[in-house]
Amino acid sequence: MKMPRIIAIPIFLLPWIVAICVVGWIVLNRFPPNGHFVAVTTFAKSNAFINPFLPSERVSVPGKQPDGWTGQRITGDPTYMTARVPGPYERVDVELEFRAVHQPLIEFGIVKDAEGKDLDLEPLFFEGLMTDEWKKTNGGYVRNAMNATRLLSGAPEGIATWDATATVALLEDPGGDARETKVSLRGAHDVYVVPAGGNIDVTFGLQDVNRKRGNTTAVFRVFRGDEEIFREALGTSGSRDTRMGEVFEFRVFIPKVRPGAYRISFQSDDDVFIRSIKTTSRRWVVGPRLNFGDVVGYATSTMAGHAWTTSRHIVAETFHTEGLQTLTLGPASVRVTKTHETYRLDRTDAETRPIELVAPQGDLRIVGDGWFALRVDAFFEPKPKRLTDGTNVDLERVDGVITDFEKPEPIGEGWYRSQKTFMIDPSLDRLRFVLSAPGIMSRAGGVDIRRIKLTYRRDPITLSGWTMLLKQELINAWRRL
Amino acid sequence: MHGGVCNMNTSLFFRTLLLHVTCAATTLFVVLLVGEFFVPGVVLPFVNVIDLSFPLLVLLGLCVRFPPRTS
Repeated sequence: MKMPRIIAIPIFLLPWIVAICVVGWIVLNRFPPNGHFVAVTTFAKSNAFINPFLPSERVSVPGKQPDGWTGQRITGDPTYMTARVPGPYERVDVELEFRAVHQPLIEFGIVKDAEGKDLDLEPLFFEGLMTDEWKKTNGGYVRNAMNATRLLSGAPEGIATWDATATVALLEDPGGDARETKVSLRGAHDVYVVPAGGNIDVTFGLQDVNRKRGNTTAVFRVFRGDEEIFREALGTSGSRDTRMGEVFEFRVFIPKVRPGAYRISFQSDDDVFIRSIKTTSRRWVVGPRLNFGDVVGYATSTMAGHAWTTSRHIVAETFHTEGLQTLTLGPASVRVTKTHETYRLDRTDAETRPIELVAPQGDLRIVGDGWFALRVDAFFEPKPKRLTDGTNVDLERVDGVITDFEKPEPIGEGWYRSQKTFMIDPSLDRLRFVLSAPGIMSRAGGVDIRRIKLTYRRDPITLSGWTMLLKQELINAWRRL
Repeated sequence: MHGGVCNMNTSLFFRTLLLHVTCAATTLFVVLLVGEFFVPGVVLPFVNVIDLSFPLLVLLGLCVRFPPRTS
């Protein structure tokens, strides 16, 4: 039997056509003409574009879970998920189907640098705002009974913020004589002041204790909101480098300022102590970080740490055995019995006025969800409190939350669906997402994830767009070599 | 020329077809591997090239065993 050549040749071409089609199919997937690429995982099997959450000690094995559903349970904080980027794209929409188990607050975001320090976290879920009692308004949420413009007034009382910046409150006090307060604060601190007589006038007594060798540089910066209005650096060591330096003064004086709450940011390492604060401001507070320093080599008797605060949740830690003590915050207290270990203190009372915080031995680093006044009459709230996983909006009488949080869509049986959009660097091969569920381990909570959909987007391809994409791919390929 | 100007016998036709299939598959395999080398993630998520290597070896073996000639 003979095969006519005119039939044989097209048949011989078939495998080559198939090969070209395969390459074309891959190119079309890599450069979809509509500019969209979708990757979906339900954790039932591995996915080439979406990896499960890690590290493994904070998550369950992806797949069928012991209680019957399929997905992955997160039990630690933070956890990370990586995704392979299918080409140069400008942004990615992340759609999550999740369920919170005894976990009131969840945030989701993207890691923007290789070191994992630059995070773009967005609110994902807050149990306290999921009821119908809260209505969405311009700038966040308010209770139904509240005026919708309440969030824009700038007054911080009864307002909390969640990953958002609040309007600067217009605060001003009449001028008067400067009053000095003896303190022992170690290292960097933020001090918020209300201008008095139209001026900011604060004099810090500083001391370099020279516990480590080398010159120490400290910086004072003053901000109104995010706007920097003053900056000055100073060396603190002088000629002494082996023994405690003298206390010297540094004055921050800015005349004729607008009303507002000003943040004086003192930046230095833990070798520099603030020994006194003298100011004409009637109202000034420190926080949310407060580091009571020791007085070794400076005073003969222990200096207790006293402050007044509306913080309801604080964590404390000491680095010296001399700092082991019982920390008291109003009716609540906690015994700090080990060094280099954080101790948590949560108030459950309904008191909204400032209450006293006492650290009898000093030498304690404290971080709160509010601010700390070092004089009883100096307390004010420079801006709304941060919303944390421990915030009880009813007990703490929070009537408004400034946030760009969008309530997730309930899809039944406790599950929610939420979508977040992130701009991405087109040169990245991989994306790293982070899911933060603060306090999840201490409350034995969990976050169940059953489906993730990533939609990569860029503009639909034109001829010039094609050239740009090809150029970007070639640049990326060259970088990888 | 194989099989004359106008017609090919059946054996030569299948052997030549086998050669074309093998060549096309080998070329595709190499192109995909080179593409994956230069742009990681461009090929492997869509086509698992490594899984294709065994069938390709079989094809190459068959091609050596049955080269496209008439006798």
